[in-house]
Amino acid sequence: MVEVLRAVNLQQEYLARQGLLQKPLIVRALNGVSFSLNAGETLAVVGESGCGKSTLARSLTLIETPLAGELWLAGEKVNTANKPDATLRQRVQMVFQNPYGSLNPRKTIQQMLEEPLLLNTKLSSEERRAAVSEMMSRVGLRPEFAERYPHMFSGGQRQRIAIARALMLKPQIVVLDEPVSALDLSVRAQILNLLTELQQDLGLAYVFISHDLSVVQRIADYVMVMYFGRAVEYADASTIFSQPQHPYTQALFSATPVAEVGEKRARIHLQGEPPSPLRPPQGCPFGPRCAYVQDHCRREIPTLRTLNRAQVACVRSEAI
Amino acid sequence: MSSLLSVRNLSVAFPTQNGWFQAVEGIHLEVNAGDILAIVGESGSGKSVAMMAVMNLLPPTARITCDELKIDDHDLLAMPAKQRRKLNGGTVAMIFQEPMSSLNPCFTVGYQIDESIRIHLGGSKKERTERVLHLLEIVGIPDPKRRYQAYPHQMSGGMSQRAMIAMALAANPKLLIADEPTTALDVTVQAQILELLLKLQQTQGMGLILITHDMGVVAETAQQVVVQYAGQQVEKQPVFGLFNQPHHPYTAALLDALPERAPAGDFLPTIHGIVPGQKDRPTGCLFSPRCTHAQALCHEQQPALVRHSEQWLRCHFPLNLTEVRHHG
Repeated sequence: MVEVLRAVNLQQEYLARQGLLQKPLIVRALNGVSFSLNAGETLAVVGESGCGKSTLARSLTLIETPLAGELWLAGEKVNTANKPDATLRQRVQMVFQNPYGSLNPRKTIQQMLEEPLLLNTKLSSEERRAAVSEMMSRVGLRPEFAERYPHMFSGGQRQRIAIARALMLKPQIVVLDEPVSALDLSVRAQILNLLTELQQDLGLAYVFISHDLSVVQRIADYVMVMYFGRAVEYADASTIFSQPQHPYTQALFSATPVAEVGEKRARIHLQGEPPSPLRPPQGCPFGPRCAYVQDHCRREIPTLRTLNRAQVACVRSEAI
Repeated sequence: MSSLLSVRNLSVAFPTQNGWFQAVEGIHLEVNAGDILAIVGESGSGKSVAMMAVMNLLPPTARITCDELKIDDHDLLAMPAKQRRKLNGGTVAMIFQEPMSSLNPCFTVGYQIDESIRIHLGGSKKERTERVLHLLEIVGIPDPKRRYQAYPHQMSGGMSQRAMIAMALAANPKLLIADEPTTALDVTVQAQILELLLKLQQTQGMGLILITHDMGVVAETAQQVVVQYAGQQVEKQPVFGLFNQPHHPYTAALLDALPERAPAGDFLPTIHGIVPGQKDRPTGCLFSPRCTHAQALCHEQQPALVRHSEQWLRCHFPLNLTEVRHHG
């Protein structure tokens, strides 16, 4: 097992401007997230909008350097103070949610796929062309289509192009931000299979950001549930799906509809919506929506602790 | 009892540079008061366009043909457009996928709900305001008095969708068409909205048509399910039968490809290929190029939509069908 990614207490903040003369508010988008990931394994990050999943993705891919905390990519520590160097950035690549928005409509597939090679390698134009056509067949696209533009492809094919582009520099880690949620059902399975195949062949480590639990259950080795910028539960997939321990994880799992008639789960009714990041609640961020909340929860923010082979950020888990 | 909505052989085509594009072809629907019908299909399967045609919301260039289109015993085909317009929002109401973009950002939420009451029910300003506040309460918006004055940008996605539902309910519609009402929302909020829709549908005795692509939502909410493929209705069944004994190979393949239903293993079963476009429509059954059960006949001749007792089916060689009874 080779560890390729480790995050220790990652933090990220944004400034939210209130008005011309008012002091901007600080929004803690990521509030101390830690995990490690081996080559060939998949970590799924699950949560609702605004929970910090995408901020985590942006930090891991060095699109934004984390404000605080340690980040190790392929055994090398990322210098969060300075701009990380280009070779480190090559190790981690990203695939975005919407293949209609993430591909430049004015570039051919050839131009898009060879751009990373042009910028980072000294390959000749023939070698680049060969690399592009090899990658295209690898992801299930006909190499003859290299001169076509993105609009000439269907959604599923475009996502294949986006995956191919991410793999051009042979990264060790791929961050997938909702890679199949914009795709139709029949195409979704094709792309998931492609991702599994590429992982097995190339030993890629995936950080798979998703809100679709059925997909997560299928492909994840580890699952991290996030709420309001923090990990509330972190465990291996079989543990978390058989025995979710945090009240939010339980509510999230129970709210997901199942495609079986008559198998309706006992639903945990969550009141209200996630808190506004501009006005964080006192104590546990899930407190205002939690059915098991106690006075203690309103005073102190719970930290992750080990409980039945999982890490849970809740003081009441045993009692639930 | 005559049905609330009755659609027979509805087709919609749009003119394009390369001739007519058949977006919807041969849809049969029947919804009674208290029914929940789900229409499922992938993007481009014509599920939204069919409902827009029912609501008369399509651009004038669209060519709509239909043998029968009745809502609550009003024959829509014989009705002038102006009169049809009055049914919208009154007898039939529709809610859309993106709550944030279907509300007008320039007016308060209260004003927009009031507008619908003013047009369809009338009444004094005071009565109408009371009704708006009542509606906001029914759909579970806390502090209705304050929310009446709120602008759409001041509300979250879930709250906006609740406001849209309040607006749709304003004139006591008999039929509510919900076009992907929860797709843009988070799962926990989706659960709240679906529960709200079901509760309202039961208490008001409305007919509900739910357009969705989420099989989980279908399994948990619908009674009847219509499956569409490339503009055609390929199957209609009660929900239990559809999930347990799908007859059309497309439905079966779609259900098999769901991660939660697929057999264990590294790879999911897939449907190879993609939905045919305007130019590559096959001559035979539209699903035949992707169908694992296709035979020679399937590639030559398009199957008709046939009724087998409670089910409608468009397939030459249906699956899981023991007793075939033809009715027409």
